[in-house]
Amino acid sequence: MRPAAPPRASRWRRLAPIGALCTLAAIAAVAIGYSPTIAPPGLHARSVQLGAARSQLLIDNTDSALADIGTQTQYQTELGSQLALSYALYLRGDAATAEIGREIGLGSRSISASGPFTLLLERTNYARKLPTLPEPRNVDGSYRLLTDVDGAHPVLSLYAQAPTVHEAVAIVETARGLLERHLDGDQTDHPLPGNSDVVVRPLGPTTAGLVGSGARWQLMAFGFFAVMLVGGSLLWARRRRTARAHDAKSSIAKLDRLDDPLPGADEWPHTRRALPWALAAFIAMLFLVPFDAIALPLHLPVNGTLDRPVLIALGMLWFATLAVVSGAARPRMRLGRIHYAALAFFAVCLLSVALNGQALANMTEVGLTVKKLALLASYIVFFFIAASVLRPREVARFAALMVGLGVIVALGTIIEYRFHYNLFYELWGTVLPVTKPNGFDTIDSIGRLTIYGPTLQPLELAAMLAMVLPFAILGAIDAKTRRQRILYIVAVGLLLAGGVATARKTSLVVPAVVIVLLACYRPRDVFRTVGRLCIVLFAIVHFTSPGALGSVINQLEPGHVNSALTTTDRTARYDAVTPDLLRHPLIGRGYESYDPQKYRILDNQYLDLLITVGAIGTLLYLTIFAAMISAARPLIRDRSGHDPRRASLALAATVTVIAVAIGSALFDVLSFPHVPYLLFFVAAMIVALREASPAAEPARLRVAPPVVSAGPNVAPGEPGPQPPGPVPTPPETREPVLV
Amino acid sequence: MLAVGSAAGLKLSSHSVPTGAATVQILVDAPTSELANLTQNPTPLISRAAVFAQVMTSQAVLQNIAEVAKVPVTQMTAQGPYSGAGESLDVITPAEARSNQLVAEKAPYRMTFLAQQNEPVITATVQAPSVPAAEQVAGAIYTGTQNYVKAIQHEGHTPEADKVTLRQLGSPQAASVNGSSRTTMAAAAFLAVLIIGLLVILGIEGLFKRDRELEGLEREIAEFDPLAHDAAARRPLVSAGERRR
Repeated sequence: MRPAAPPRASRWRRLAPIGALCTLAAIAAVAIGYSPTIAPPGLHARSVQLGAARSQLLIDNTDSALADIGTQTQYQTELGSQLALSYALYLRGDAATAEIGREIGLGSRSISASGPFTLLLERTNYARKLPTLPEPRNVDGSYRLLTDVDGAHPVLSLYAQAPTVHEAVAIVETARGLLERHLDGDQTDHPLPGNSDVVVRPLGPTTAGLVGSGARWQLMAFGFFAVMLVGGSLLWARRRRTARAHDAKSSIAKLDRLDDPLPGADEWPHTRRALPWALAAFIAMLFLVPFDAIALPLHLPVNGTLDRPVLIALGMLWFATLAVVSGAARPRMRLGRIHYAALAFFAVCLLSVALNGQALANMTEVGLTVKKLALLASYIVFFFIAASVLRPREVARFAALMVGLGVIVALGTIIEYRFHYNLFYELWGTVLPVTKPNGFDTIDSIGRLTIYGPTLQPLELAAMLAMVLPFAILGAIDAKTRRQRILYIVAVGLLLAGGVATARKTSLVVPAVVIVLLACYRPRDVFRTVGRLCIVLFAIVHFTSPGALGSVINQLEPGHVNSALTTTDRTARYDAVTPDLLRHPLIGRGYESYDPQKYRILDNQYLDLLITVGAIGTLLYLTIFAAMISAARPLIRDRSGHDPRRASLALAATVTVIAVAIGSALFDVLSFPHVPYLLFFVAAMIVALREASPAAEPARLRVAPPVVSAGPNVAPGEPGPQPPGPVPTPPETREPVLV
Repeated sequence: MLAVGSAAGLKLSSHSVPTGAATVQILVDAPTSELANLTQNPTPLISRAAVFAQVMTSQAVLQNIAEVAKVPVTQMTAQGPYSGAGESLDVITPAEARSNQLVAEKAPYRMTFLAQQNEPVITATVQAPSVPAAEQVAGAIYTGTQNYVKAIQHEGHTPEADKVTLRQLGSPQAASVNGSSRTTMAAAAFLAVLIIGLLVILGIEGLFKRDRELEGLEREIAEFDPLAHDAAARRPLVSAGERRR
């Protein structure tokens, strides 16, 4: 008999949450677009669009240098450029900015002025930083003037930004008028002989336009639907929470314990299955080979870096296995939340390119986006393959492999730090065409040695080592023998030392976050292992990478962390990219089309995604992390203690995912393939941990049933006449063991 | 079908994707040509060419070029000359300057002016929606700039012998570029719509399936442990597991 349904709530009780959610979403949407005031009560549109204006001035004389060959020499060009610089600095002075503010109707408020930026003024790590006095003027940051000269040509550019186009134009024209009046006054007071008078020649009218004209409505719609989606999901989760909790518990109870023996298990490394070995080789390549710096002379539609042919080979092996092998050895493809999140992100990336294709073609950036999309597709394909191949019992072994490889990388990094010899580039350079990155073995602008290891960026190297750290720490905690524990503790020390040798702040920040996160889940174990042995770990770090720890700590000191270019440049970007964010707030300008060499190095994956795939793409990128974490969560929070091994591995994987999520705020993770490949491999580990081990069964080849001839008068494929008597049993088909 | 339709629609509607490019060279010279006069010192002309390259990106010269080419000036933008400190990597363009770049981002006619290092020659490159359009604008650069210079000379009463003289070095060279851009956009649209469609179908189906599963599970829990549900609010008082404990 069918069990009775739980009693249904009244219509009002069912509709009330939906109504509340709609109201909340509407309030969120309005709050995004408008700022409320109480006295007087009202809503004021938020400034989410910018008016921009530009004008150029030629610093010339009465007999124009453009018209008269007799007037200009190289000396005069240089003089003109010097004057242009003087005028640029004059216009950003207190008196000029106050005067412009008055003239455009700001009353006692000054406009904000800056520049010239092309000359890279005020960007030094060596100048002594003096304490900044409080701003005595009343400056309105919404009204901005930027002056620019390049130091070589007598051209002064004026840029303005204001809430409306009209105000932006007014700023530029007032600045130009002010400069002309200033020069006229000077020339009247101090007349010069001949044609020595400076003439400020406007190079055409002021051009202007609006940036982010539809941004407000787009952001409001996004806010509404985001609240509806998140709220709806939470309501649904709450409604089904009893069943979900029960389901999660019973699903975990069905899983086998990883530490229990499984006779006849065909698990890596004790397996003849080719795919796990191929995966292990790929992981080894990620750690030991500077594959991104190796461009093979192959004619591929995308970049011919080493990972592509290897991934293509892996994919072909995977397809071959799917086609040929049957039984437990066949890769199991079960689409889960991580698969969906990754695919949705990829789809939005494609959409951003399709919708902005014309502008991208205008800026000749289509090629760049195609390359980046191909790289993203590589990560996702790798994840699909790894998630279908990995088995739960193999996860711990692959984690141990990652720790081992991480230790090798850490040792290589320490050697590079101490002896200025990059093992990875030098050794692979003898057999493959390796291109060394710019700045190899050099000191950067704040005096740090640039350490690459097998990567293309010191930050990437630091992040890669930090990603392995949770597995090493939990390996030390869960070690069954004293020898194993000591080895894992040494590994933790070396991973920390290797990271610190890169002299990047990330090398301390991310491991610190990793340890804190682990301590949140397993405080006693973490403090017992890391806390007790911190002196040993400190000694390992200090003796292997002497001076590096001090250098990184020095960068993180309160007096330095906010003043170094590595920090100030990052914070300066938040303002500088505002126009790009407002231009395409929802879908972006095209995936990874913001060329760092053309525009600006962002060092922040989230910022990069906000510009290139908009709020939707960034939300989906975060959803990938959320999907990974939520997939691992039931295993970590299993209070029944059904399988502590799975819980431990899931925790390490989760902390690694969170480390990458934090690392994404510190550098553009998706552009440096070591970290994303590793992240998706860890995601595949999480997927595998959620599954039960397959039954012990040898690999078998799929063999098609033999075609039996039906007789001379029957067409192939049609059933022939049935012989009288009992139906004979077909002969047993032979399923050979995969060798 | 939706994916194919969106790809086809995008390909057909992307008629203003630039596919033409042209280049032309202009010599900044004196009335007695530098090329024909051994006594002429080219250094002042070389430094003047660098100034010209910058001035040619200005709205004043663009207006003249647009007039000659019979193209609306609002559809034109110019960049360059990419020399000096500005050519370094990671150009830290602040928001004010970037806003102006973005305003000009969709202009279909884009020009770049590059002054040669050791000779008074400016190379102008034009990108336009088609090859003939690119050739037409490239051909207008010399005349447009010349008109601008003549206006200044007229205004300043420059003597004939001192007049800066621009010379076009040959006719514009045009070719087609960005050939695969439209196909790339169409392929991206096709894949995006296909994946999003599949995800929506699978997602909705999966959600309903999961909801039915959980509803069935709730029925079972209610049957075995009726106290786990508040009949009025359809709200679990305690979870089934906690109840058992």
